[in-house]
Amino acid sequence: MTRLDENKNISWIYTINSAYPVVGHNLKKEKIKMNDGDLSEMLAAVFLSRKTNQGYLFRTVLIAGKWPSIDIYAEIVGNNSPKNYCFIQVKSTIQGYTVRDKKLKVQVPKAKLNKLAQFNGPSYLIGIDYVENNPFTSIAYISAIRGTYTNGLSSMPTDNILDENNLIQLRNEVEAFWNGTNTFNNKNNTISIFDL
Amino acid sequence: MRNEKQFQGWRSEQIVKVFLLSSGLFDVTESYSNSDKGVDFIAIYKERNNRRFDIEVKATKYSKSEIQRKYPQKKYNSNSPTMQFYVNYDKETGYFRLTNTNYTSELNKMVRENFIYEVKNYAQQYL
Repeated sequence: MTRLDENKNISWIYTINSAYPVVGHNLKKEKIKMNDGDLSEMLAAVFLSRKTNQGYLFRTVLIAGKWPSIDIYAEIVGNNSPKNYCFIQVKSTIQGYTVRDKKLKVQVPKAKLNKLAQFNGPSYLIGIDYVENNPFTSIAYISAIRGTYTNGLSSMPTDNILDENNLIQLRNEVEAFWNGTNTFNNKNNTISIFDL
Repeated sequence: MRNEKQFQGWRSEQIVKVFLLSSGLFDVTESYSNSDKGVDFIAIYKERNNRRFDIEVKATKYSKSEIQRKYPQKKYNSNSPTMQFYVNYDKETGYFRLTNTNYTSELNKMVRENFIYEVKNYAQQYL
């Protein structure tokens, strides 16, 4: 959100935690969207859009702070219809792994897990072992979030690295989910009073 | 994919946004006003009165010498400094240069330390 101080040619930029002026330009129509807090989500979006031997598989939109529990909407790339998609929550850490189980030290509260699981679509957690000097060499892991959770997550399993093979698996899994729902039949067979 | 080029352009922009945010020097905006034609997005330099940098991103797999040949330095009339990025969208690497009406930097590798040094050096001289 921005506010323009027209007399002084200063725009005020609002981020999640602060507001500050930008000097010298009219930013009236601009929208500030990303600060340091959005870095993990942006990095996860880069990982999801990596090329595989089956081409690029996911295109993403960052939701970040705009909606609870979901950070990324990820849609399978392609000209084919239907447009299949999944929801993703992202957590990152520079603390590395637990000594005993070699799990990634990211935490997700129970309420957040359950909220993510309740979305009527495939939902996943991506955890990132963040490398400060070169974020693109960070390692990301993925876990499906579904069912009911009685506890929060104190660390994340590292069985599934978000690599080329698992990107293909993820695409297949998301497609399988939507193929099993008969969504288009439901869409076409239910009544809408708003039909054209 | 029909829109593969468009996808590569989009992905290159995401890579540059991660690069800028991870430097700790900038916030970035997703959209801009109509007067900013040719600018892909805007970065806000946090250390100097939140000054604005225009960001241009080219998706390319050219080498450094090829970039220098194909994308020669050009002068900008904008009041804002411009950062040009040439991104290899598959390798997540690339080059950048900083430019304003009076100055154009060398083409530098997209490496965090290089970038922070270049920006701070530029800020000292021009901001």
